[in-house]
Amino acid sequence: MDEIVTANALSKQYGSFRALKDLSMHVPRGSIYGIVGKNGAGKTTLIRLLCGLQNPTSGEYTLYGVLNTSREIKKARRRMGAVVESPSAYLEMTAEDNVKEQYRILGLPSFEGVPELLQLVGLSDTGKKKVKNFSLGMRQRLGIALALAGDPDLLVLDEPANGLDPQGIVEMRELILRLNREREITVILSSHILDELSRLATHYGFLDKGHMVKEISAKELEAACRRCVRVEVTDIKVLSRVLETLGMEYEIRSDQEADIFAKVNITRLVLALHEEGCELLSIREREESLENYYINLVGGGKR
Amino acid sequence: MTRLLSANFVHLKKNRCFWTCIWFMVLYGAFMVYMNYWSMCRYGYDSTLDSMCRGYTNLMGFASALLVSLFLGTEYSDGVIRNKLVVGHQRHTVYLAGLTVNAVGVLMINAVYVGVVILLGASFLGASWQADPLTLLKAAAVTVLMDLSYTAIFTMCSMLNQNKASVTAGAILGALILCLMSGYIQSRLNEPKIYEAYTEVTDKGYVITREAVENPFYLEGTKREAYTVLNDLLPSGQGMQLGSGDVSRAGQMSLYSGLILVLFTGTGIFFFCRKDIK
Repeated sequence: MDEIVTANALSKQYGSFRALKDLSMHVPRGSIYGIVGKNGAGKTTLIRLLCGLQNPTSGEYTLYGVLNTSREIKKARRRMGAVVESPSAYLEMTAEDNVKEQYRILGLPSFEGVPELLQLVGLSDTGKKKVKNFSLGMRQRLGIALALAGDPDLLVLDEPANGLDPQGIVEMRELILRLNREREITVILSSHILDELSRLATHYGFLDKGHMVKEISAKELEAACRRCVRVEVTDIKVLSRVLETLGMEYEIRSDQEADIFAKVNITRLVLALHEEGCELLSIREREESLENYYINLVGGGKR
Repeated sequence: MTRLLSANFVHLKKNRCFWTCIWFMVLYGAFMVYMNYWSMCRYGYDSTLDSMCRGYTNLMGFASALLVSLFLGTEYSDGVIRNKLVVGHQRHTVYLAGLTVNAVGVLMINAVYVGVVILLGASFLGASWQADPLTLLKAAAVTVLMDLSYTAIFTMCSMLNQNKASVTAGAILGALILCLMSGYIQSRLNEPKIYEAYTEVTDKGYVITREAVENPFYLEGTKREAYTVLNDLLPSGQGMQLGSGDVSRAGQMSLYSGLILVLFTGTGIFFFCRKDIK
């Protein structure tokens, strides 16, 4: 699968503070790429760099294969839309006027697509209501409409669910999924609401202290977070033999621990182990969430 | 660039501050005509379009400070400048488009005042031009360049500072400081070289004769030249000269305005291209 955005050794420094450190990133075409990280991890800085609002201190990135220092990057940017931090729209204008203004900025010849765009984001009935009177959810959707005005292949959203009520979060999620599936738009979105992100993302990039700790696809993550029973025994070879006999899927973690990916009849397992002189020391059910995975990855709250 | 200009002009058309300035100038123009009419009735002065048209030049610093800082401040506070950069517009074109639209806005505010004064002054007071066409042309050219230099200064301040409130307050304060500086410079330049001799009769009937004495505050030599250059250089100084109908140094004033325009715009673009936008 080809990559729509890549970053290599990207760094950004504000004074003595390094917001990004040698960051690498690979966003596959057609994916929903979730940037995961706590506050101050560098998510917004990364997005600002990708959007051309700031220049990297060192390193480079590509958009559609075009290097950020190339003159052609201007053309590549035409194919992207973004909502960075808060939605950007004139507060004294209506939603329709704002979209028309964005059409002018893009140099689009007619306003034909404006009603359709407003309908897509659910703002077709706002009439003469000014943006300053919009709810946060409406502003977010208008921000997305403005980002979609140039019919982009890449949409960058910074914390799109921030400050939204539950209904707004659901609507935002459905909109992003629709854009990705129906229009085949690649989406990069940052969030620290991991549960919400896990319902959307097809790929993840885990960011900590300005560094990309790990990039992983949703499928790989699912495998890593599978529900299992973790057992601790005195003899791992015996356990392995017994699990083979019982036809259970398992994974050896150490010379005493293993994860079993099946429903376990504890009595049968204990008896089978006992027959071969192996003791069961502990047993516990495990289900790793995205949250747990992230915390394990970045070392919890230890700094 | 044309795309940005088109978008910016529509924004200007919908800008409340722009229309407030326009209406203020309409009312101010009408007020100036009325004041001239009142002087005519009371003192029998003849009104000329020249004197009425000069009545606003000191205000242009404040008008451009307000318009430019609020217009460009909104681009930052509403975040719209990001929409322009994200879709690939280059920073220098964003800057120049902002400067151009603001310059047009300031000139329109200027033109509205002159238009109102000419229309009302000529039709109700029967006022006409006193100065020769060349002098009027010089005054118009200096005024346009003064407006452009004000716009360049405030555009630079507004594009390099993302805080709308602070940039607006700073711009107005800056316009005020420029005005005060020029007022001081003008008063120093207008000091008489010699206090004339005079004779005074006291209450008790004594006659006192004072000799002509040299004014110690009179500026001479390099100092006078420096003050004159500053007076021609600062747009507020140009405004005061225009306000008093003095266009004898039109060439110098135009040159300095051009320099300010180029210098401030060049510096503004240089730093804006390197600025981290939030």
